[in-house]
Amino acid sequence: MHPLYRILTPPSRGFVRASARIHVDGVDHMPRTGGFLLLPNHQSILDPFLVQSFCPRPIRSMTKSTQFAVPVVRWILPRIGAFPVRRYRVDPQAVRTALRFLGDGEGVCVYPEGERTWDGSIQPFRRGTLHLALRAGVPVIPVGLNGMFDLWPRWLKIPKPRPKVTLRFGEPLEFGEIRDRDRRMEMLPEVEALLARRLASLSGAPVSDELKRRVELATDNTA
Amino acid sequence: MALVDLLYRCPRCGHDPLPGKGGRALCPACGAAYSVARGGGIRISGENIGREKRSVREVAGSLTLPGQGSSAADAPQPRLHGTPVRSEGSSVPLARTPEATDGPVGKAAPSGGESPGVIRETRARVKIASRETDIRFQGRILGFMEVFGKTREGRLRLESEALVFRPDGGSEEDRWPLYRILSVQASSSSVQITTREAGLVSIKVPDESIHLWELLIHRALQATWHARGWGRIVEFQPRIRAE
Repeated sequence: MHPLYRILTPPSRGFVRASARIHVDGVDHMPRTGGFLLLPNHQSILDPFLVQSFCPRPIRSMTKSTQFAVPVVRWILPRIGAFPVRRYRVDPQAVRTALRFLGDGEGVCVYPEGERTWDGSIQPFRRGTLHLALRAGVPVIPVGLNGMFDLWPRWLKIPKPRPKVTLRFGEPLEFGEIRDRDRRMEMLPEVEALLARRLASLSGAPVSDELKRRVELATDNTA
Repeated sequence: MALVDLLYRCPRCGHDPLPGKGGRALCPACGAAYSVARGGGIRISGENIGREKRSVREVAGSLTLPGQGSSAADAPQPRLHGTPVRSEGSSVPLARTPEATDGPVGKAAPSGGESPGVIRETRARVKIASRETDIRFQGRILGFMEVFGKTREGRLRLESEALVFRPDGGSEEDRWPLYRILSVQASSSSVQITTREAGLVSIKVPDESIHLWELLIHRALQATWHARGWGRIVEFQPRIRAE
């Protein structure tokens, strides 16, 4: 990882601690070596600061491509572990880059909902992220964020003062490395339901109606 | 962005639009005041209402889109459906059931008068991606990003069959038929659509809630896909996908 990542992590942690009362849990679930995939729920624009600052190992974060539009930001982002994803189309390059980092034994963070929540609930997951989780062959760690929505929901211009925030790393999920696309397609509903249950339990956030519907459908089909 | 980006109309009586600034909003019709509560949630207060705190999800969940009727049964009920909705002082009829027909695509001369299928209209800033560029780091490609052309100002109109942008002083309007839209996503304070012809289009609506526009486009697309027998849309990005 670039030195700027290490330089900026302590001030970033300080900034997050100044913004909220942080409680971090489950760091012992993080693998000590090898690649891993972090899948947090997405509540606020500050989530990447929180996750990156308190994750015990450096991580690469999949970041929407529009963030790279400003030249200074475009210079900084890759140095602090960010790589772009075009959300307006299927982006095989983003998947290739993520798999490359994971293959190199690094940690990659992807927000499976694809965007910040409007109302605090967990949104349905992007299929591409679920494919990545099944394809990567690395431990998949669900990460529950709670309180970040109270700190700074996407519809407010300025954050609110110091709410209680919990960051909880869950037990790793192991799917193996499933190369067969049809097999992955078969598994998607089940994996989405599993991840939804884990994220809801770790974060304490409610599940959106659409995601709930999909989880019930997957559960019915499994039964 | 502000609370009214989430609460695009009064959750209590359905008044549209709900005026407000920052973390506050006040309904001129029923007098309900909304504010962001300490420690999360939304505080609702007003005469004959009292003072109560509800979760954001609960309040936002009680909203219905314009054209679906008002949201609270115990409040004064303005009959919205089938009546004009005020948008920047202009009266625009509400949505009708979309009928899928192959309308014109791309540039077209501005239509005179209002089209019968207009769902909503507002001021907008629109920019279209002209190309993509790679992002490299340490000699390797990390990924790609879009490069946008010039921002144009004008009026955006959502019709039952198309999204139409008429630039200020422009002679040609951009028309993107709904059945040709490939993806829709909110990106911070803009909504982005991908169309077969124009590629990526980024839209800002400075006078209205971007969330409302995203939801209206979603609903119009659902109707279009349903009318064409393409199924129920379950995902709007990275590409529209139906069950």
